[in-house]
Amino acid sequence: MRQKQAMEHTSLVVLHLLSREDMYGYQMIAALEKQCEGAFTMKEGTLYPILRGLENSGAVTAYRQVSPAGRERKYYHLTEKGRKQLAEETRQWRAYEGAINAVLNMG
Amino acid sequence: MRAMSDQEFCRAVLDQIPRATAAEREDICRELMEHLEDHREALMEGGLDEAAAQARSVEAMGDAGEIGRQWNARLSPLWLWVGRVCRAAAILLLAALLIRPGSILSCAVDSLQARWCDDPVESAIHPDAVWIREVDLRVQLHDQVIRVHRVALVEDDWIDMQAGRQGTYQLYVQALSYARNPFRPALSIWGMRCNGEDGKQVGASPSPYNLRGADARTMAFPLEAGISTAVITFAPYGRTAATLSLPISWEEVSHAS
Repeated sequence: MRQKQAMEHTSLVVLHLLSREDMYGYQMIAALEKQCEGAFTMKEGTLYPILRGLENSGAVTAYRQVSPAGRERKYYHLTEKGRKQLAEETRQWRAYEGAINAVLNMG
Repeated sequence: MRAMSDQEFCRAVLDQIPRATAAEREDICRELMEHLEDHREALMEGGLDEAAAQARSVEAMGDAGEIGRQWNARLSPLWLWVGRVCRAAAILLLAALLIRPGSILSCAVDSLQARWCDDPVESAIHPDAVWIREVDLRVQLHDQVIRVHRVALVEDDWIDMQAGRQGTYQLYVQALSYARNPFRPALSIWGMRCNGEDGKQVGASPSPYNLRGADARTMAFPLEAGISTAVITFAPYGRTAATLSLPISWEEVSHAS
């Protein structure tokens, strides 16, 4: 694994969610709960500083739009830079995961 | 312990985000409130009553202070300081405009006071005044106005060695000048004569004005006994530009003697 500090797990998860479609904050939380079936939990409010950090780095942009429920919400969109970042961090995570598994599978 | 309301939660978050501009604060609060609203409705659809759903949704957000601190750490302090510097500069500029003697605003205040106040000059005219008349006589000299607001007959000996005259009484005239445009400075009152006589400025004349918006003078003119009218002329450039006529009453003098 490269000597580089890996992205926070939550940031990686958020970027992956946004790679599928643009989402607003609560929508991301709801999607995570559904996908992970309770295995991945986070305090919901901490999502927003993370999103702000991703905005600062240019990985995401934000805009306001009316949701399917008919209410205006602040949506987040993964940029090209964000996609590259996601790809790199995913690769690093897979390498890390493989290394852990290798250790655990040692006799 | 009572659960925080949505507004209390947002305030608690914002309290930890001093770097946020007003627009950012509004945006943050709006986004948090929308999140709480969505979660509350989802919980109510799942069977919870509104109060329980509201409490659960706030609890699920986490520690408001910690959220605020994390958010604050991701904001640039640049615009916060730009805003502070601009506000400080605006306050200093306003203070300079209002406070600085001779400033355009103090000029306007003096000018307006000179034209509207009943007794714009609060200094006493003379302790030996036989009578004092409050008047409001105004003459216009181009873009300036001269307002005579008080006259008095004062027992004040005078002597004119050159002409070989002397007398016991003088006419004290208090006058103000101001520009018609209140933001323009007043010109000094000069060239004032009474019955053809030059007067002298009396008293220390501590003008209450900032010497820009209005000019205040008290002039004393020798007055020969029995003169029924004082004709005051204003001739700033040697040519009579305006004239005021004041009737002089000697009755009080007679009664006094």
